[in-house]
Parts: sequence; C-alpha cells; structure tokens
Amino acid sequence: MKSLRKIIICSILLTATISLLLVVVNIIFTANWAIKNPSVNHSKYDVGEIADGLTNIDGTYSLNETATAQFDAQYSWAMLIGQNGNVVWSKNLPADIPLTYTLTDIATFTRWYLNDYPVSVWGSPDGLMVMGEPKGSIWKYPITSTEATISQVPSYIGGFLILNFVAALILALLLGSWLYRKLKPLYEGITALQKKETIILPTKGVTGEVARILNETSVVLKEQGKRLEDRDKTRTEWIAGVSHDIRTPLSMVMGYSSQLETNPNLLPAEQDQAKIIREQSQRIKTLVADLNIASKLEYEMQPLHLSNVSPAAMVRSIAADYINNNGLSDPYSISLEATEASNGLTLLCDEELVHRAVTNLIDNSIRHNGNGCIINVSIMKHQDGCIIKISDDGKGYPPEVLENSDEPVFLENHGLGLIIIRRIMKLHGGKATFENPSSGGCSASLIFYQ
Amino acid sequence: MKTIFESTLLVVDDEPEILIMLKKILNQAGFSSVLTANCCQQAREIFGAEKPNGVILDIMLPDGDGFSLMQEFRLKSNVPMLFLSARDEDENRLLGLGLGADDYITKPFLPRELVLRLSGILRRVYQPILMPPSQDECLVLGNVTVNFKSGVVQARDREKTLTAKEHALLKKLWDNQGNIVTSDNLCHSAWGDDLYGYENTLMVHIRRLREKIEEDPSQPKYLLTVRGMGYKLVKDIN
Repeated sequence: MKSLRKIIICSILLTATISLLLVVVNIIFTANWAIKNPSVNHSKYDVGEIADGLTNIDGTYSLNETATAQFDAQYSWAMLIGQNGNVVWSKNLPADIPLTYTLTDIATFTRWYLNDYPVSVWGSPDGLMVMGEPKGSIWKYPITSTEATISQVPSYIGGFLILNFVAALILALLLGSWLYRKLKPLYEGITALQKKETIILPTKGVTGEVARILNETSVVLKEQGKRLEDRDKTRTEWIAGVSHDIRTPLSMVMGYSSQLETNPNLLPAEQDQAKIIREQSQRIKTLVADLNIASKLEYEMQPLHLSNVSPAAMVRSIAADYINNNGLSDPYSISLEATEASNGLTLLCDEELVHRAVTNLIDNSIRHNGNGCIINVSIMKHQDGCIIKISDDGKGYPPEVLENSDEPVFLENHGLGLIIIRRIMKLHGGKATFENPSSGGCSASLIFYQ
Repeated sequence: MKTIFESTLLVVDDEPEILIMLKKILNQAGFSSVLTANCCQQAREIFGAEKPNGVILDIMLPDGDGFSLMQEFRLKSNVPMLFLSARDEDENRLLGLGLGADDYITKPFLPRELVLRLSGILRRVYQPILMPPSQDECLVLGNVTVNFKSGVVQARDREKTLTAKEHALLKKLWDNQGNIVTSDNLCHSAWGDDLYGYENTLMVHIRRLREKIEEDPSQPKYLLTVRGMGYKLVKDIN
C-alpha cells in the first residue's frame, strides 16, 4: 500500500503545484498586459499644458507650436468656451458641436461625452478649454467607491489569491482521495497477483475495465502456475520412479561384484576388477540418490522435517561415523573442533538434510583427493546461528566452485553435490561459501543465521 | 538352535533375481535355512507354516506393502524384522514412525552390510537365550576384569567398585567396543541429557574410570580420548 500512497501524495502535490503555478502565471500575465496597454488617461497636465499654450493677444487667440504639436498628437478638435457660454476659440471643431452652452450643458458633458465625442476639459482664465476626440475612440467609466472599500482592495486581492490556492489544494486532496479509493482495490489485486492468488475485483466504476482484465489475468496465471507445478511434480515423480527402478539392477551388480571381490577362487587381478565394478556401482548409487534429492529440492517437493538439533552433536556423530562405520583410515584422517559455546547451540532444521550437506562435503574431500588428505570439521557459534566448516589439505576447489554465487549452477565433474548443498542451505535461510585458504586445500562453510 | 546361523530366515521381495542373490549371500554368510517369498500371500503362508526366526521384508510388494505385512506378523510373533527399502521416501517413515522394525537397509546395498545388520539384530534378540549371561557380562582388559553385573573391577591385587555413572559410561563404551562413542552419546547414557554443561563432569568421570581400569591412568591404553569427538574403548590389545 506504500507505493500507492506515494503515487497519490505525488499527484496531490503536483496538482497543488500546478494551481500555484497558474496563479503566479496569471499575475505575471496581467501585470505584463497592464504595463504594455496603459489605459488612455490623458493626464490633466496634457490638457493643462495645451490650454496654457493658447494665448490671447488683444482678443485674438493663437496656439503656440509646442501646444499645437501636443494637440495634434492627442486630440482631434478643441474649443474655448468663454465665461458667457459662447465658443470664443476653436480648432477643427466638428459641425455637430454647438457654439453656445448653458451651465447645465457644461455640467452634463464635462466628465463624459459631448454629442458622443469623448472630451477632456481644463479651466483657463478665459473660460473652459474643451478638447475632443473622435467618436467611439475612448471608453469612459467613472469608479465611485467608499474610502473603506478602496483601502481594503489590497487585502481583498491577497485573500482572493489565498482562497484560490486553498481551493485548489482542497480540490487536489479530494481528487487524490477519490483516486486512492478507486485505485486501492486495483493495487491490492496486483499485489495478490504477485502472490499467485486468485483475485475477484469489483468490475464496476471507472476502474472496472482494468479490474476485469486483472481478474482474467489472475485466472490465467493460476492455470499457468498449476500447469508448471504439475510438470515439476511429474518430473520429480519421474526421477523418483527411475531412481527406484534402477536400484534393483544396481543391487544385483553391487551384490555379485562384491561377492566376486572376495571370491578366493579368482585371481587377484580379477578380484580387483570386481572391486572396480563394485566401487563404480556404489558411485552410481550416490549419483541416483543425489539426482533424486536434487530434483525434489529444486521443485520444492521435499517437505522440511524441522526439529531442534544440536549441530555440534550432529557433526561429532558424523565425524565418528566416518571412522567407525565407513572405516576412514590412512591416508585419510578426520578431526573435529567444536567450541564450547557451540555445544549449547540448538538449530531448528531438517536434520537429515543438514546431515546430508555435511557428509556431501566430506565425501567430496575424499573423492577429489585420491592420495589422501586430512579433513577438519569445525563448528562455531556465529551471531544467533552457527558456522559448520569442512576443510581439507588437498588440492583445493577449481575456480568455478569459488564463485560463491547464490544460484546453484551445475558444474561438470562435481555432480549434484554442491547444488544440493546450496539448495539445502537456502531452504534453511543460510548459505554455503567455498574458498581455497592461502594455507592450501579447500574450505567450505555452511552458515546458519537463525 | 545353538548359534544365530542356525536360525530360519524368510526373505520377501517381488524380484526373483534379488531373492536368488539374497539367498546366495545369506547361505555364504553361514545362514543355512533361507526361505523366500515373492508376495504377501506367499509370505503369510510360509510365516504361518515355518515360523522363521528372522524376516527380511521389501516394502513394495505386488499385493500389498511391507509396512502392513510387518504389522500383521507382529500380532503373531516378536521375531526380528529388517526392512529392505528401494525408496528414499521410506526412510523418513522408517525413522520417524516407531513401526517396530528392528532395522532397515536401502537398496542397493553391499552384501557385507546386509549380513552385518542382520547378524546384529539376530544376536541382540537371541544371544541372551543362546549364551549364559554370566559369561557375557564380563569385560577383560589385560589384567583387569570388569563384571558389569556386580559392578566390580577386579585387578591383580585390588578390587574396586564402579559408581552408577561410571557403570553407565563403561557399559556404553563396551557396547560399542572398538568404535568411537561421541561425548554426546555418553552424556545421554549417563545423565540422559545433552552435553552442554556436562563437558567437565564427563572428563572427571572418565578420569576416575581410568584410575579404576587402566594400569597407568595418565597414559591410557584401553580407554582412549578421540579429540573433539569423544572416547573409544579399544577392542583387542596385544
């Protein structure tokens, strides 16, 4: 559920960032626009300056050059209304502009339009200066507001922005939680799919189609898993069957060759040949047993029989067995070292499998060192678990064994022994490592963590 | 029956060739009376008529399995039985369930191994009947004789008594004479417990035992230490 939460949080943050970004972009855009397109606001000074440029010399009015230029640039016509209400001077005056004005007329147009001409006015000593612009060129709108309202404008704008942001955030949160609720079953479905469970998700709503596909996928996966399992099982059973069938003929080979080996009527050379047959058939026996157990471990068909075992007692008994029963003697020898701490240790493990791992390693030392070797088995406590180390002073491991990869690989000339050891250790949550110590020989460690 | 080799044996296996070979192996080893059966039915008939002294049973039989056949025989008789198994899977059953089998051996096997195991269980069952126990209860180590019944160690000029723990330890070593007995096994015999915590106690008891049975306890000749593993009672010393 963690990753789903992450997706939702990311989406909420993203939405919030986008809305914030929009607000900022809007502000920038508006400001930019406002700067580039100023409102047509002829300053009072323009009108005033032009009015000042109109001089009255003995009843004749004339506009000086500067004022004329200024006027031409901004206005299309102008007139001066004398104190008596008559136009005393004009320039480019359109025909539909009257030449006489009452007080009411003046009050009406002063701030607005005169016959639809937008006008600006300026009081001069000789009367009222009126300047006009073409019809339809200026839009005038006076704003009347209380002082209190105007003074609150900045905080209104700020509040408006904050409100925008909060609204965007709330919407993002709502959208996020909606998304979360919709995606949660899908997420759970996919998680269950990973665990190879059959899933039945509701197929209604926005995510219905995806849910339906997931449901179908789970059925397909389940069938596929079952087919694979069946195939593994068949293979394991087949190997178990073959290994069973081979035992009867092998019993005969071993039985009779062993009899011949001790038959006093045979020549020593013939007895030796019988011995070779017997030894090789014993090798086949080991190989078949290895193949059988490797296939079971590979396809997890070997149920673990867990029990509390003292690993120190186990390795002592294994080492003693090699001397007692298997008659391990010159040029081979086996020694054992167990630390006192390791005596108090118990390990929850499958005794038979761990036994097998240890004997496989000892057998390897014997088999790969035909001229004999000193085998040392040691056990020591390691964190909460232990390390069982099997080393010898023989010729050491070939390089391919030393690559301590966790994935068991089949190595030629090493049979299945090492694969089995690695599998067994993996099943126990531990691992097997192999090295050639600088002092010579080889050393394998079975590391148990529990 | 004077020796175990005079006992009548019944071998049950579905493979005729195996039966022929087993009969040859057992005859060569000295067992003169070996009967064979290739199915449960035949085995039942022979078991009822001949009352064999020991049975070797295959597990997979054409008309049943060795496990149930053994349980059937067990109802009538306590003769030792040895299983012959061809599957690794059976091993767990044989080990785990106390089926009452005396031992088992997996195919393929070495004739020597089969004969050793069979003689072992026959001896265990019939030796007390065949041999007078008084002879059997004495261990002779050079000039020292240990009588396990009385717990007395008899030397040339002295007589010492074994304590209960020493008796248990020496008996265990004697039962496995010639073989290494791990410290763990010795501890189980004497204290019924795991070795942990008893390491020093065990050493002390072995030292006292040596004082009683060895001529020179600091250089033992009979009760040897096998470093790291345990102890060993030497078989023949000449």
